[in-house]
Amino acid sequence: MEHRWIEEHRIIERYVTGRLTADEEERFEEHYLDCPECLDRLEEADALRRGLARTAAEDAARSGPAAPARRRGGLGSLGGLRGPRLAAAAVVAAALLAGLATPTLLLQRRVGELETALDDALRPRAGTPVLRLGPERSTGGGAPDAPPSRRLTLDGDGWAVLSLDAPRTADGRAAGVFRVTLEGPAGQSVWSDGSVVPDARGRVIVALPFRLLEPGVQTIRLEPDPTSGDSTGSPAVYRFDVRRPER
Amino acid sequence: MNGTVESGVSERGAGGLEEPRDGSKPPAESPPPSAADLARRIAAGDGTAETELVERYSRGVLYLLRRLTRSSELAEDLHQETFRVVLERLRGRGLAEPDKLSAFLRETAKNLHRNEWRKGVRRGVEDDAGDARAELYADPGTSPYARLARAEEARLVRRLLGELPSPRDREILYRFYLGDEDKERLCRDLEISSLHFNRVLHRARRRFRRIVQESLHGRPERRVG
Repeated sequence: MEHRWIEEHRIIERYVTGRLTADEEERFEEHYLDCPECLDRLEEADALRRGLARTAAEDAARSGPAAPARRRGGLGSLGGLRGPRLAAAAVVAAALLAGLATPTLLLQRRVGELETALDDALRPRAGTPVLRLGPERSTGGGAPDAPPSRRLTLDGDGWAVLSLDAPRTADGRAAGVFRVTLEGPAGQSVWSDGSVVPDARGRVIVALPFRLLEPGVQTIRLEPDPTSGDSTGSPAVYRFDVRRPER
Repeated sequence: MNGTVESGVSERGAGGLEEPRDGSKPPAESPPPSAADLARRIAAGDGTAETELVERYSRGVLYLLRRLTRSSELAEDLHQETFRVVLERLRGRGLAEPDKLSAFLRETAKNLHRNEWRKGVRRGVEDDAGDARAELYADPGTSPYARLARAEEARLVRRLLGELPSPRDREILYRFYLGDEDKERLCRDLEISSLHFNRVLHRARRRFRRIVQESLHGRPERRVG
């Protein structure tokens, strides 16, 4: 990542305000780990942002305790905020709502929109499907694997919980630190996460939103996580079929 | 990566990532060893290479971990653990791609943080990010900005805001840095061009940099060209 590109695409401002794509964030973080100039600029942007937040708080305190009216709006303006980025935006929103009133009505509306999205993401849900899977045994010899015996039928929006029996070591323990990867029907990597450890019952529990599961055979791979320093685990593969009801 | 280059906002000599403004060239220095060189030397048992690795990447890893954890204390602990894991790996079986040392450091730091976060969730410990008055990031590091106390930061930002030419420029800063609004939406709402937006941000950053330097070193303010 070159500095001219970083300046032209406002990478530093977008990073400190959580607006980079996952790919941009990965590339920029790898860059600045070894770049004192970019670290100086990052700390400058952080200081500016903190100072702005504090001046807004001070102005709000001086102008009185009136709480900003919540404006509930649609989710369309969130532009794909999700996960940690949504949570980070909600922290700023919560800080702004806790008496640190914003200078403009448009900011207040934005806070309301973020609240709505966070409420939706955190609401309890019933009827969550739970699927228990054991590691696959390959047929070997180049023969195609049989269709998976386990199937999930998903309707609408929601979450599915997978309970994976972790591979055992020679002495029967479910040990190790794993990287979990979900692959879709076309073999494409859909999601991955590291530093996963089996629970006390020797299971790895994964919760997946329906939107990640296209109809077809899904593959979950458990592999020892190379960044963990623990190589006791063995790799394992799990497969299940996803169907959607025909309309 | 798609994107358009805005014309008219020259970054040269503007206090960004730049050459020295007086036109002088810094003394020639030998380039730092490549990441792959460091990794290979560590694998060969070179102790000085291990020290170089830590010195070179320490600030960046600590910044990343402070951003993730929002806790200076936890970031310090994970920072030590990150280098322990990475050095152990480099001394042992090494990296399949030694030139991707930075990526490995980043991934290790993030995984350690994720693991720590999961332990906290299992213990039922609330993430302090829910605190409405939480600081945006953790305690200071070692840069000039890190040495400023929080109250001093606010004072310097207030001075910056007072020196901006128009209330609209102040609104741009608030809405972009705090309101989480993207550039396109701001330009539409405020009926300004993309070029004008870039100029406002660029000048504000440059001005803030100078205000901070004056505060720390007591130099008279230089007029912005």
